[in-house]
Amino acid sequence: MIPPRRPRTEYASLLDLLLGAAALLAVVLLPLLHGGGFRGTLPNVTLYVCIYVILGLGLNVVVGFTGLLDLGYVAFLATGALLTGFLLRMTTTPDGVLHWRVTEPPPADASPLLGFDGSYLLVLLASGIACALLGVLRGIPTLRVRGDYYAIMTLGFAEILFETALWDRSYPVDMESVTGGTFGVKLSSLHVPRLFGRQLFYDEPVFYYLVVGVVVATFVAVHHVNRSRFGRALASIRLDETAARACGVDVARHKLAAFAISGFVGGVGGSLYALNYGTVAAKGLDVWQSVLILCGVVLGGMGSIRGAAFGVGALMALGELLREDLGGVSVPPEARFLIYGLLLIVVMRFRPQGLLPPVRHGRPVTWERDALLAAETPLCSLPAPAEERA
Amino acid sequence: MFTAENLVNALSLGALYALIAVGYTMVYGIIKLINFAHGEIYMLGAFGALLAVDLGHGSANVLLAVVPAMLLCAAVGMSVDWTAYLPLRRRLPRADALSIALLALLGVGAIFYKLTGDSTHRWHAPAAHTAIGWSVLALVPVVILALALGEKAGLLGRSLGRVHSERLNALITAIGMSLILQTLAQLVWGAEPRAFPEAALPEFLSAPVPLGLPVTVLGKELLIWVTALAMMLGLHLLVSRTRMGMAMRACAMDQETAALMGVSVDRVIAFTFALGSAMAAVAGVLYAVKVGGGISYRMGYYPGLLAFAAAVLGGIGNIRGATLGGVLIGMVQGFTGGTFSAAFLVMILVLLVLPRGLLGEPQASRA
Repeated sequence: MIPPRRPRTEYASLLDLLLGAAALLAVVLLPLLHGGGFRGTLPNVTLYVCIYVILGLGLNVVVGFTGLLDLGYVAFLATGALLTGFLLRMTTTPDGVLHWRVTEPPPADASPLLGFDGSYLLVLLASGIACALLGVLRGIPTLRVRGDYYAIMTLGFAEILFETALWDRSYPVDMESVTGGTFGVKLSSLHVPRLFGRQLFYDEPVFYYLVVGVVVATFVAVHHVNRSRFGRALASIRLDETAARACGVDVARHKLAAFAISGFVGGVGGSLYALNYGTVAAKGLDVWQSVLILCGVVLGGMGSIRGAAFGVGALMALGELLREDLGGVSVPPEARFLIYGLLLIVVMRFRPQGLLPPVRHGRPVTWERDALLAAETPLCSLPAPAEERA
Repeated sequence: MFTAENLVNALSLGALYALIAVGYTMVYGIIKLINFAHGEIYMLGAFGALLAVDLGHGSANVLLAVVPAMLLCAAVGMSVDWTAYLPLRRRLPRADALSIALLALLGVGAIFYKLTGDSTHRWHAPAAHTAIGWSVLALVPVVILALALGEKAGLLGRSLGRVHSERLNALITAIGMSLILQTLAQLVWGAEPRAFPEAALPEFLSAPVPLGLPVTVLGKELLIWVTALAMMLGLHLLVSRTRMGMAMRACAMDQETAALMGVSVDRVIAFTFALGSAMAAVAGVLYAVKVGGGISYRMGYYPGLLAFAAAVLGGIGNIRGATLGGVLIGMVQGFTGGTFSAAFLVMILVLLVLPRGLLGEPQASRA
């Protein structure tokens, strides 16, 4: 195992804490100041941004902590969202018959299977666990490849899942009855679950605070992952997989665990995404969604938790700001992607560590500095030749 | 399934994928970068030919329009290298200046295009909103310029040198480039799929060719096969017989040594981008001719990915491998009813079982 010699900790400065607290306070107070009816207003945008922040935090576990470029993260978002839609759509009739095909309208006397108060928390958990499993399953074949090949393989998996989700009756497995095919799953008010007696609609304060709570929980959980012995092992894998193995890190197990954590967070985010929109269709969840989230993480700083949250949040807020129907400024929606692409190139060119790179002892940590630090403290300390010591 | 019609289709698809895949494999062989924007170059090839046909007022022949399309794509390919990848490889003031100039040109060009008016976009926002929106867009090049000047003047401090994971940076840059090219194509040509006008298509393309086979082969299918074969032969001769080809092989082996032997590495890389892009342009035009339309800003994504899969399948860095891989991937797709999943599945399996591909040379690690 990694000797606990050099704690790899992201210390927050007082300013960071104050800014974070202020942001959280603003987000919490926003619906109270705004009053009811969120549609197309600031709390609605905040909700949307918060969901992507969750996804960004999850992606950062693999891309930032472990140093593997995951281009297929949308697979978790889609799985979580579609599973949530499927579970919430299940209905039973009084004679005990289960109706689960989302392509058929439920009978008139049907009631939701998961209609009890708080059932959504179970669904949320189930989405997370399913995606964690998916992450492990998807991760096993990728263990042998690194770098570009890992990126391409994750992309390939996402594309395969994307196409399989649209399979109809003419294929070996009728996926359409689970995912709803091209049209997707629509959650009518019959299917929307309740929490504390309120339905979890996108304009309900209960849903808003649930999402904010999940953001905070994810932030804290990911922070602890990064600080832990496990997180340091991931950092060692990122710096040099061979060296990490030589130091006794079980690379395969650590990677799989990272995939599982990342997948869990992605599934939870996807589940909230489904509820926020009320309709989920696989068609809208293509690989560009992963690129978008990745773009945010890179912008904020790969490996930095506050960076990932800030980057994804800023990017999504910018995108929403540029939307015409919100009374914002008017550019064609596709111009957003022009800006995203330019941002990726410019950030990689001029600030490859991101806007808020990870800090340690108040100084930014880059991968190069990490490598230098590692080189400064060799495993066996031989006295250096005199001219080198000077 | 395994019918003769599917075989004809699969062979055409395979020929097209092979044409795209050599671009991937040559670039990867030299700078070890998956040029994600290559699929977009293929798309721009089709649009370039469309532009040429449009400029010729519909009387221009598609087969002639291939030439400007190839030139356009060669230029775009080199610009992509200079804009996005060269500054990551070298810290040269020249490279910085070039990169900034090209990025700014992209932004300004898009704005200019928009301001000179077009009717393809419907939007009815108040003028003030539009002005603000375009100012935001215009800000992008300005910010880039400011960043660059700030760095030059030492205001930002030297960026923290090369980052450990350079390859990851290059890959992300490539994704960014792909996004930009796709969006620009959408801004310029709109979102609706386009097709070549009937007048631009010679008649023999849609006429069956009397080959004496039990299956009808249309002229365009034969055209694709012959073109692909000829281009592959030409490429082979270029790489194996010419000085530039020798320089390319030298750079693929060892860039530093090649530079010591007097090879201008950056020029060779730019040439490689241009060559691969020109071949992708041909593939783009041929695809549009084959399916009779479908020229859209999104057309490059799947062929790009599948061609990359083909390059990996054949052994990345190996031109003959890319050809073989392209044909195989085309077969898989053609015989499975045009699905992409099967081709991706094949790629993943190949990466797992034969990490070096079918014709790949041994290498120590795939890090």
